[in-house]
Amino acid sequence: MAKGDVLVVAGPSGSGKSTLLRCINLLISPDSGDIYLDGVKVNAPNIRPEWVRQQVGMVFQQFNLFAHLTALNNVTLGLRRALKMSRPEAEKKGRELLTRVGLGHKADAYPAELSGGQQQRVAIARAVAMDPKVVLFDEPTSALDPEFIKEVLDTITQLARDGMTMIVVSHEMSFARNVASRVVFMDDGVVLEEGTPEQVLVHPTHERTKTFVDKILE
Amino acid sequence: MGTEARPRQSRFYQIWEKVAAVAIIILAAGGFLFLLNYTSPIKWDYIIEKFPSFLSPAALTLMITVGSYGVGMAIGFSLGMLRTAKFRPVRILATGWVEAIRGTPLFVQILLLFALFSYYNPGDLALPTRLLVTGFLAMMINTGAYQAEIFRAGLQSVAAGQVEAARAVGLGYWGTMRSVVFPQAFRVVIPPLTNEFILMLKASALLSMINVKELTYFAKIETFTGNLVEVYMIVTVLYLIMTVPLAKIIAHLERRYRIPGLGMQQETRARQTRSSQSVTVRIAGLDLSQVRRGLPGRERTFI
Repeated sequence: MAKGDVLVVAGPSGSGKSTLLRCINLLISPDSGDIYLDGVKVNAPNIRPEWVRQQVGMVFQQFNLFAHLTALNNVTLGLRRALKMSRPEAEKKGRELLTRVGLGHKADAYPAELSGGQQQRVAIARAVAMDPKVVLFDEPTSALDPEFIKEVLDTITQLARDGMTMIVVSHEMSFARNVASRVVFMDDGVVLEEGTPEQVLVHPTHERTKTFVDKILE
Repeated sequence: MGTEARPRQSRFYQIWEKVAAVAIIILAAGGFLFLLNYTSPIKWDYIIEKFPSFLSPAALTLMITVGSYGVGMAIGFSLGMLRTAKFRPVRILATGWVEAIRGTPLFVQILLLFALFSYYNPGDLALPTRLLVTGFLAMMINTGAYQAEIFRAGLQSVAAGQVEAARAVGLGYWGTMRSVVFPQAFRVVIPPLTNEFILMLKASALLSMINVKELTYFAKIETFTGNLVEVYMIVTVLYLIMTVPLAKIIAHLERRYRIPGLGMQQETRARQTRSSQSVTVRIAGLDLSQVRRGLPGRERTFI
């Protein structure tokens, strides 16, 4: 992947998309194959996984915001505890990011007081706060009520336009078509097809991809 | 925990409920006192005269409980962590210990320790001190095992997603524990820990059987001159003075420092119920919001 690329990963459930993301930030160690970040092999014994995770943001399907912390503290926890940034500095950055995702006024709200869409936007701010080299999105909209999907996709799209490198597991095909620089189709742990959104989504060559895309577009 | 949402009652009903509750308590207490009085009149002047002398043994009860509970908390927390350890032998050892303690009566543990210290007296302690130490250790060991279970449950109640998210922002094992797991587990663990403290305070009465001079032992000695009812009335009131306000204070603190979405949810639920009440849909006289919750629905109306 090149800097600024947006890779969308699609495929039926159980095809290994989430596992792939969790391997990339070493929440799971890969059985085989290697992961390179900036040319450094990161699944190596001499690399601290924390060091890798500080450079790889992650946004979860179920948001996973820290339930005991306000939106602002959710964003700043990593800055303060992992990057040892001072509190005023971290909070300044946190507020900027919350404003960027349109939630500057919700800085002091707890996750339970936010809608699903708002929670996911805070989660995006939390991932971006660490100035990661790449952000991983694990089906960021599939746990959301339909009314909140757009605000989250818009936030991700804006982030992509700003030049953030990202890998997005998603079934939002219009999003993939508009934002992705490349699309990967996975099934059963294997990449079946890879190319531009046009190639994979409009003119798929593989039978499995065709049926999947047809079903999703129905 | 008995905090089901229920429809908001009218103001009159709320007051009526409280009046009724107080009336029932007064009636019950009055009836009880009447029965006691029936066999032999209660000597109120004896109670008033003797009450102050019970304060210092009550203080000892409180001190033994607070001390053994405090040290037991350190033990319980460590054991609770070990019970969730990845390394299996450690887990098995910790679990075995906890099960052994929880599976035997506290009274038997006190007696066993008493027997041990009778044969083997470390540091040549004088008898009263030795008994005190025996009782203290027995209670400490016992509450340690129970608190281990409370801490284990609290730690395990933290969702896996919370831990994963903490790891994903670059926190290590201890960073994750300190910043995410402990603060969340802490709020879950407070009510059962309060409960355990009250249980231990009451269980300390067992130490009277090995002649530790705490409240119940003092009472037992006092009854040698008769006045059984009066003495145990004083003791009852003193135990209540030590337990009830504590429970109330902790419950108040819990409400005060509650975080939406974590731990006790009473008020949030009440709010939800209220709002759903205002949009109550009635079909054929059935209140749907209550049917869905499966609650008896006191205010359900039928056409």
